[in-house]
Amino acid sequence: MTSRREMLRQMAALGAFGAGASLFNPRALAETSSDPRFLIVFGASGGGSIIDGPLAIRASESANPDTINTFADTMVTGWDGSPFRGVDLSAGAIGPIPAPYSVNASDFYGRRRSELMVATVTGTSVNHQVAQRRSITGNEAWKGRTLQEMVAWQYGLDTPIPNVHLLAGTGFNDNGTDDTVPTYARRQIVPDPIVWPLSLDGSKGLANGLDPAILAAVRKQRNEVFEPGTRFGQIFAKSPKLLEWQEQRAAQGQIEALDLISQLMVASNGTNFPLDTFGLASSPSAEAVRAVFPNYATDPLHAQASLAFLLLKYRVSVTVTLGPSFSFLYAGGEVTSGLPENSVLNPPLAFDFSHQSHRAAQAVVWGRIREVLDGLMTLLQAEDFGDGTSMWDRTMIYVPTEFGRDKTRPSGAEDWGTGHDLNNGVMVFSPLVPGDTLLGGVDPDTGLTYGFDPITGAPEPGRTTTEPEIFSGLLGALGIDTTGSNLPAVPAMRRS
Amino acid sequence: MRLERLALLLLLVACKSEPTTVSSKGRVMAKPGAVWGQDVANALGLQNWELCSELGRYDCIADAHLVTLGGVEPTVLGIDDPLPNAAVSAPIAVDRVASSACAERYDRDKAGPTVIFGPVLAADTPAARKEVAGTLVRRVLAREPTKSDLSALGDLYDTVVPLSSDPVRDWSVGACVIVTTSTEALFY
Repeated sequence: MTSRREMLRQMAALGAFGAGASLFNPRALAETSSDPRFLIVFGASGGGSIIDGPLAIRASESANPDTINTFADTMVTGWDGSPFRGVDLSAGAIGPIPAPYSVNASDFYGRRRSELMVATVTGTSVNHQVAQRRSITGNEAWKGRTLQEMVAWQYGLDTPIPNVHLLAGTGFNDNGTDDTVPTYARRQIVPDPIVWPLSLDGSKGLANGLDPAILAAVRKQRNEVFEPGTRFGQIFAKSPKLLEWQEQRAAQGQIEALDLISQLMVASNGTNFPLDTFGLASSPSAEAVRAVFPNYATDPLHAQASLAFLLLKYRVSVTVTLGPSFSFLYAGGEVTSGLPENSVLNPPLAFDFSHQSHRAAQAVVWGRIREVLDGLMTLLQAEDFGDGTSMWDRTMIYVPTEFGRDKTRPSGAEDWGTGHDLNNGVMVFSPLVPGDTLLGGVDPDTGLTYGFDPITGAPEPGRTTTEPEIFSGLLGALGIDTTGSNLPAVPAMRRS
Repeated sequence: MRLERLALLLLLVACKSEPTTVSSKGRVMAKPGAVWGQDVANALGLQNWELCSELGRYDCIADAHLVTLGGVEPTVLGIDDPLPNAAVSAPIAVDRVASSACAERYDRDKAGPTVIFGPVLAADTPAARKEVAGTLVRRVLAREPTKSDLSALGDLYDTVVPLSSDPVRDWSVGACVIVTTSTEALFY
């Protein structure tokens, strides 16, 4: 089996692939792998409107406060010298869903704005899947490679599963289209974060399994003697599917040696998960994680975030992708004249419920995302990287979404339906980007965002920021070698 | 005399092993976990739900490793299509299911009546192991075993003996795992 390093040497020998030389240099990659940056892609599915988030517009700022998506001044909290706002909202229903909700954005942005950069962007598609994909490829700006692949490529050489996707079926977890991206950097989808660790060891936790040493001998005999001797193995020796399967098998030993079945086990021992009975135990970090994400067993987003943190903490991965799905999620509770307050955790279609109820859907889903972002940042800040710095010091959380929403509303409406609008912005939380910083701006009279100078970061009304610029700026902040990529330079997105 | 020569020639042709041509396209497909599991269950004389259970509660193929093994779960997880590429944990999950299923078959054979491992349970000899190896290949891969198959499975015994306190069980389960998790059993 060709090692990752050998494969890179072979690829480099084949010639230029339009990537920085260091990406094909195993020694350089080993160095970056020991000094990694971590990327969390937190997909805000459905179309999260940035002017319903940290770029909210006060009614008093707009010439058209009744017909543009603005908020009463009393709802909006701001901070001196900060471009960001927090809107605290409550209402009796989420459109046709009789579920009262109450969200507090000002607390979150008040505490986290120093780590937040918002960059305005104008996308190129109002199709969900397509726009999601473009948000991670910069509209195929660099041979269709994804942000996650580039981070995994540069920093994940020595991690067992560098690029993990904890949700599936969205464009945020598309594969890139460049075949020269090394296999190890491609995405691995983890379907169910809670039970997945059970598939990370061939014998532990099985009532009647084989001893690990015997299983290792069995695998060796199968891989090296039995299969090569069969006609099937000989005829299909060059089958891409079989080669891929053999490559995955080659990672078995490394994965099992890390005892990931224990390290990544979020669940606690109990009736539903009788770990003790089967010689298993929760992760040593599970208690701290469960304290932050207590609903891990019932809320898929809590489960994703729990595992995301553990994957980074134990250096299993250097990039993780997560986010709310389009599925309706109800927290439960007694139904009286309506559903209990804040019992709808995720409306149907997440942000896209804005078609029925813009203000409520945006408030509820942004609230859900803020809560999980806050938890992840708390855990990462408390985690020592091993050199006196925290995990958070080298982490970026990118919150892409497909597009914004219509900026207008029926005159004076407090809740209304919106369609998709290319014009929007994205949030990036990280010590690697300039904090408490808005790149670009919002025209309060139209609700439209405008761009910025990619070099200086100065706002430029009349200019729009493109997807390739955001893609390039993020790669730059993450320290990815983009030599030869022809990507636009966007140093404004990098913390100096 | 001519007829004898012709017969000899035909015999030689028949006995000569068929040359193996490597497929240039190599198109194979992975069996979905449910299909592979059904094949293993049929081969081992078990019901599907008897193959493997995680923590004694979650069916390995229908629940715990459903998506990892190529299944779909649109209702809760939103996974409408099988994963396009093998998950990195899939080979481990396959080994896990097979180990559990093969051990279950062995334990039942030991309690009797036997289905596969009777010969080695009666007498742990090379001939008995050869018979069991042949049965495994016939039942799992639905073809006659080759000399290479029998030799590869039989040779496992020498590796297992120094590692095992119960070589009969460990060889039996190990040989079963080899056949049920071979690419020939997993792909078509």
